[in-house]
Amino acid sequence: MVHPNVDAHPVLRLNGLSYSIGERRLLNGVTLDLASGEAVAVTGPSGSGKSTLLSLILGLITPNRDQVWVAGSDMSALRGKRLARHRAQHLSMVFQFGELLPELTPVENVALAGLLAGEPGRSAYERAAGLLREVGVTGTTATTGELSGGERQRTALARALMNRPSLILADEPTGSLDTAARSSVADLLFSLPQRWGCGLLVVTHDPSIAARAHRHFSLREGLLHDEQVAA
Amino acid sequence: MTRAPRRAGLGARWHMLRIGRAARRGTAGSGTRWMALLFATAVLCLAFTALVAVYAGYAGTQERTGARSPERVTDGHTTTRARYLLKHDTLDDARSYTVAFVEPVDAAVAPPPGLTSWPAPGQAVLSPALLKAGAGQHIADRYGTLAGTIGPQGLASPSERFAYVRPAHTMRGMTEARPIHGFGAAPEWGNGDFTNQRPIWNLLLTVCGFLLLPAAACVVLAARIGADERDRRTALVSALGALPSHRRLIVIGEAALPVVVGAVVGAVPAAVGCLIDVPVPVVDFTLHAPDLAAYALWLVGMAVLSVVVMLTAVTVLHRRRRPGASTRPRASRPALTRFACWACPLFLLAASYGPGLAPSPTLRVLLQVVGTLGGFATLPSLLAAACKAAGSALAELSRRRAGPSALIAGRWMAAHAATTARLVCSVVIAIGLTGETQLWMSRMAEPVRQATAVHAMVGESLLRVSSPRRITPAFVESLPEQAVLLSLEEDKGAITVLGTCSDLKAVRLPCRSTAVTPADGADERLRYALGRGTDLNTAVIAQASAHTGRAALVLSRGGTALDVAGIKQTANRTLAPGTDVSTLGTEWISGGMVLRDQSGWLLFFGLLGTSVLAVGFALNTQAEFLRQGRAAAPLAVLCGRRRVFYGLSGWSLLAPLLASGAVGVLIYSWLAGPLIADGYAQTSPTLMSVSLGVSAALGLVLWVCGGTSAARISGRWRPNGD
Repeated sequence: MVHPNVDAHPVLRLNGLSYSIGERRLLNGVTLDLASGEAVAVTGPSGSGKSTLLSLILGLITPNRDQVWVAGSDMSALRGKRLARHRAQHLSMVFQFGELLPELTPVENVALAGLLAGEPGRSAYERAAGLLREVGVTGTTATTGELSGGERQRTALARALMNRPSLILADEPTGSLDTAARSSVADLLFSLPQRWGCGLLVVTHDPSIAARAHRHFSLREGLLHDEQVAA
Repeated sequence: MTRAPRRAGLGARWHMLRIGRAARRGTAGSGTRWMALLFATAVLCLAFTALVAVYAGYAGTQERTGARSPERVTDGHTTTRARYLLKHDTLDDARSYTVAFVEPVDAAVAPPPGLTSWPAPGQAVLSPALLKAGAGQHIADRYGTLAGTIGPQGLASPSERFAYVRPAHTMRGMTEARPIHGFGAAPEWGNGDFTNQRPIWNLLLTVCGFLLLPAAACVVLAARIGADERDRRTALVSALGALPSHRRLIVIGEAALPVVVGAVVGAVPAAVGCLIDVPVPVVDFTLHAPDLAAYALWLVGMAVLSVVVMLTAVTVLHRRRRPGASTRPRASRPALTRFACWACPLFLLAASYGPGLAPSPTLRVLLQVVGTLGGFATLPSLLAAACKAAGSALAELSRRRAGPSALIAGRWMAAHAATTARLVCSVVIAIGLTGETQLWMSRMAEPVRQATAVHAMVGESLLRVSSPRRITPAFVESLPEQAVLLSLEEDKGAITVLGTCSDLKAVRLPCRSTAVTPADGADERLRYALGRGTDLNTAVIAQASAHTGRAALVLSRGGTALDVAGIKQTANRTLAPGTDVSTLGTEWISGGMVLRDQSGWLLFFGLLGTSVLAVGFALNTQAEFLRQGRAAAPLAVLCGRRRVFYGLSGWSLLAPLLASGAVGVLIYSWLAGPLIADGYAQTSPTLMSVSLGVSAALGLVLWVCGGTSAARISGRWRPNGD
């Protein structure tokens, strides 16, 4: 795997990010630069602050000033509609269980992201069909609820790409899959940064998944610790 | 080794209740269940207290009517202490009311209840409701000088129209006037509104059918809202070793607060009714506050009973998931749906047009009943199929025109058609059944229909005067210039019309003593007044006031309306007490009005029940909407479009409710078609507008609440390592 140039244009910059809940300090000066085309994995025990880290990056929890930068913008400086617009333009997320609407077909689920962003229907459906072809979900008219776990996660990946994000966040993206599906979804997931020129931050418990990233950190005691990545 | 069964101690019980209370706060959509529990308990309490109010209202009416009913001299009393004559009169609206002509003989006898003293000769005391209703019809001086108003203790209800009149001239010697000893006896037939009351069980059944039953449906719905989450929690606490009593206490702890608040809210109308006289909407009836206040303890008991019933329902209807129960979706029943799709319209056709084609009355009723019941029984499946098709069509439409909200809502509606169908169905059936009841109640008997038709033709251009004594010259001279007075004398079926030459000519009768048939060219109004084909004799008199019979007709020249109120007023001053002055057919129309007023109760409780059902099912649908809305929360947040939930709520809640109001009114109009075609029944514009208004208002409220709640839920969404 070719490592991209991190220093050039980081799509995500965490600059001494700190966050506490009451007396408990969850993040204690987390620093990270993530470039376009780069994949970074974060592992850590339950309660170490992985989900909080994702919420801070998404701007769902307001970070302190100058601590979280996404696609060149300080997330603490954005509020309301500007924050929502920035999030919609630059961020996507893949969840453990897909978070797709089970009553909709895969193409509708994917197109929905474009429709919600204001894209015309025809164009959204055409691009959604193309993305599904690219992730290998084709020829199905079944509803998403009737798909296998692997197909659902592939659909979720296609949906994450719909708005051409600068940064994809993935929260345990393979946690609900069997071994075969896990491997194929992981292959697809880690191919995205270079194929789409976006950054990827994966939060996982699975060391074999984390090992596929360019860089692997473990979150312990509020800090990111560099882990060895197999060549 | 088996463990001995444990009993929950006081501390443990309290702890379980607290767990339940905390569990309520933690779940999404808990606000909707809170509202549903509150609403169901409130309507249950309202239904229970309505039953008490009916009983209290009847008891009060009966008691006061008895207190003012005269003690006849023949009923064991020998002394005549007053004279009493009961008559009836009407205002323009043809509603009949009682006029009691009274005259004390013994100065010491107490006046009727509600009067502080006997009116002086030529004075009248009227009820406040009569004064108000007849304000534009000279009612204050129709019977003499107004001496005051009747107090509430002398009226069956505050809305009763009633008058006590003491004639200017003595009633002594009047054969119609009864000698009485005083007041206070068994309620007298014909004495005020008591006469027109239906049996109490009739109204109690109406409350049960139209309010208690919908309230029971709301109780079941509210108890099961958000059941999946609670069923999972029950399975968890059961696995941790909770006893059934623990589980019950958790459920009670969760529901207790909204249920108690609901009972308090539901008891508010009764509490207000104990303090002030409350006019019941739609029906012309005001509940007397002291009547209800006398049953205050019963009302409190009903509020407590509603709490007990609701908490029992939430515990009994809270199922424990059986281990090994299938999680697979159940197969739908396509055969039943297919049957319903063609059977429902056929049933409705049979109900609406079948009776008109049926050869016998029995078959007519059978077709009406089977068609209506069959139509409503198959309607849910038909509506579910319609919702499914509408949902798919909406989703397809979203590709071309509508936005993402229509896509999601359409797919939801197609996938969960039963939820939307239940909502639509409850409103449609409620409107349909209420409408059907109203139509049957509005069917007029043949004489009423004829009387109404005659009244429409003749209107107020002809009055019939009937007096216990001869018509006085003073009355004749007081008539307006355009009035024609014809005296009537009947002898062995033959009617003689007496009038001046000018008056006889005015109605195209010959100015000579002869036999005529009215059809030969006389004024058509005479035929309505005296009957078709009646043989008439005419007799000419020199002056109208010279002849004084006991019956007469007053007609206007040229068919213009007479001043009925003014002529009645003059008649009361110049003719004997108890003289009847009325337009044609008034007695029949009054009888029809009584029936219509009685059917007002059905309409009132029907509309109330419809609203209750609609709100109950709407809350249930909103809970389902919020449950589904959670699935869209992450995407909406990431795409920065939380406003999408207002579109979703519009398609999922507002649109079905608007449609259900319209479909309900359409079905009502369809069922009404044959009944109104023959002129025997009338549709109720009130029912239609209230049905449309309630469903639209409910839809708008749910649209805003559903959209806001779902947007708020999505605002709380965080990636939490699911």
